[in-house]
Amino acid sequence: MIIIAVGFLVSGLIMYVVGYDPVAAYSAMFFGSEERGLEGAFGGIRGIVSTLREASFIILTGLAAQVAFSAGVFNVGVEGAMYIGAFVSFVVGYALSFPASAATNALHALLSILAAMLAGMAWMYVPAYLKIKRGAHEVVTTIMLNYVAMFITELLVVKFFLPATGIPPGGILTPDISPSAKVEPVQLLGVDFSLGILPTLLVAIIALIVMKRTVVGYSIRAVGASPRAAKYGGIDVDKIILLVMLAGGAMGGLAGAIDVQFIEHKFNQAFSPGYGISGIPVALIGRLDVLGVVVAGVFVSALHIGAQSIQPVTGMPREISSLIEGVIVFSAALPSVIEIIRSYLKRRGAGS
Amino acid sequence: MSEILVDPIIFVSLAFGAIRSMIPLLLGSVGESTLERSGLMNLGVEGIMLMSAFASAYGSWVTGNPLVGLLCGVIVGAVLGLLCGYLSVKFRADQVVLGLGLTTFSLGLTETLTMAVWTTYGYGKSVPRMPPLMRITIEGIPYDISFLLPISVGLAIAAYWVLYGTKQGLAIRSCGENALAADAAGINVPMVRYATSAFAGALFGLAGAYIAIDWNNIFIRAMTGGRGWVSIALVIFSGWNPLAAIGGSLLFGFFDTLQYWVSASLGASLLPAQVPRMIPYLVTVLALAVYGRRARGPAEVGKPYVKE
Repeated sequence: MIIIAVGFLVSGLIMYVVGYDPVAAYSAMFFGSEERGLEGAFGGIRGIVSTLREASFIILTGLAAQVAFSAGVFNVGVEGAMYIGAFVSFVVGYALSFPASAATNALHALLSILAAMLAGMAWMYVPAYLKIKRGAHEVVTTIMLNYVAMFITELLVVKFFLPATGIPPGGILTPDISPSAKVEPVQLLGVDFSLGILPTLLVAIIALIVMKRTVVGYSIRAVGASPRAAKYGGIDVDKIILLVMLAGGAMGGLAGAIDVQFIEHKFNQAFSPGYGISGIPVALIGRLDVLGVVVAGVFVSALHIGAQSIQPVTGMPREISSLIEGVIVFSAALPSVIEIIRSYLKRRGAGS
Repeated sequence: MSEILVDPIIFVSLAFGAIRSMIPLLLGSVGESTLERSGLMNLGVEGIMLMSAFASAYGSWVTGNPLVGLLCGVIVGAVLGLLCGYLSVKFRADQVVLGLGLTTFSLGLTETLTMAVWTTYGYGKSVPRMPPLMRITIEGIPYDISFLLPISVGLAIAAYWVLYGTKQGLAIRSCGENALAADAAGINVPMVRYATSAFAGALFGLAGAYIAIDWNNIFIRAMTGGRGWVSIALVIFSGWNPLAAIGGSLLFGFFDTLQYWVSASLGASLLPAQVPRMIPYLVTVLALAVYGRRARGPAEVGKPYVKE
């Protein structure tokens, strides 16, 4: 909680110094602006639905980062796995076409999702292998591979799904997937509510059980606490590192499939404003706790959706959310400073 | 591909392109090598470069003097580098998280400031740029050589000389190998690490300034394009040796420039533009794959040292 407060305070200070009104910005962010018809992150049903749609990605990428963090691994490559997963889910959704019935639709959708998750795992196997066998630092390799994944999907879409005349004004998009692979949104108080949050919450429940109740979860935390002690205790450290990275790849792949099947129904090269990278602050805010990550994921999603309302109200760009996230991550790197603030607050609380 | 080596005009333009692209990579890896030799690690290179790129464009915009802009970039870089060093030493910050946070922050900050200064989204307005050191004309095509080419190569040589040829360099290296022993030998470990932090930050700042007001003459969102990360990979590739970084950054600069050349010369018909754009990132991963384990860096990189 303290790092979030620090994030808002420091960012507000920067806005103020630069000449913007931070109070107006934050109020637009969370509650929108009635006169402009904006709902911010929580100011109405449309805002809330948007925030939850965003959260279906960000909780997943946050969990991917958090599971890796728990084992002391910095997996920044979820973004790349997302691109690969989204593209593969598109290919399976586009190439196959099932007769229309509830059962076959569910089968097709499930097949595409599984393919995307496998593709994400395969993609993440590369940096995991390089870390375990070659000692390559995963932060650098995964960030480099994120760029590579983006270019690979762009290449494939441009090569096979766009006219040879060049990139159309709509952007780098594929045609729609088959109707049988689409998961349509439901109506909720007159607003389209995407069901993408459901697989995300399912993954969160699985992660919660694995991390809290199984030997695997215990081993992951043991490796994170001290790889040497874990090894001494008979845990195969390399296997745990591989496991957490592949799990991150699968979650990234799923996040990509959610965009293709639940939301856009096509592969859009510009679908991610950096969901994978946002997983880092989410994991840090949520600390090493799955429920914390779910709450933090909703919070960071609210930052993103709210930032879109900041733009028309105050004139600040929507990247203002990166500013706040950056300060939060930065302060998360400083547990001792946070501890100083906490004990100061406690002392003041006790004194007054 | 064989015609690259045969056609002299293409060879010359690729060579000059590689020299242009190597400068920020060299500055980044010389700074990071020196810093890591002293036992600290800064993964915020990308963020510092981006913020310095903005600062230099802003300085050049306000004063109309690109030299002032360059200085702004260097100062911002040094201050940010020192801040990271201070937080790492004094508050035992997690250096990986710190770097990631700084990089995320830099994107939001520069975007907000671009809007505040130029009221445009995503890119600023053109600003006065650094004049070239010299202009070489070959076959009627002019090629500019930047002032920062001799400066960055000179800094690499100087960093090598200081690290391996002076008493101060021995102190720096001993902080990275065994801080406890260095402390026992009377070396002020925090002081050494602050100095290398500020030095590294200044070099990252210079690299950012080069990208914004020498290579280009405008600030563009995320214009550093992952070069900070490539610099970190180069540190490993060159074995924490600033001299080897000269060769390494020239090689990476070549791959960086190859992408522009392939898209401009071959056209999308032969090779789609995305393939050459992937090259620098793929080569970085490959380099890490090959050199990752063989390379042995300073023993205590990233390990906070607390005096008992």
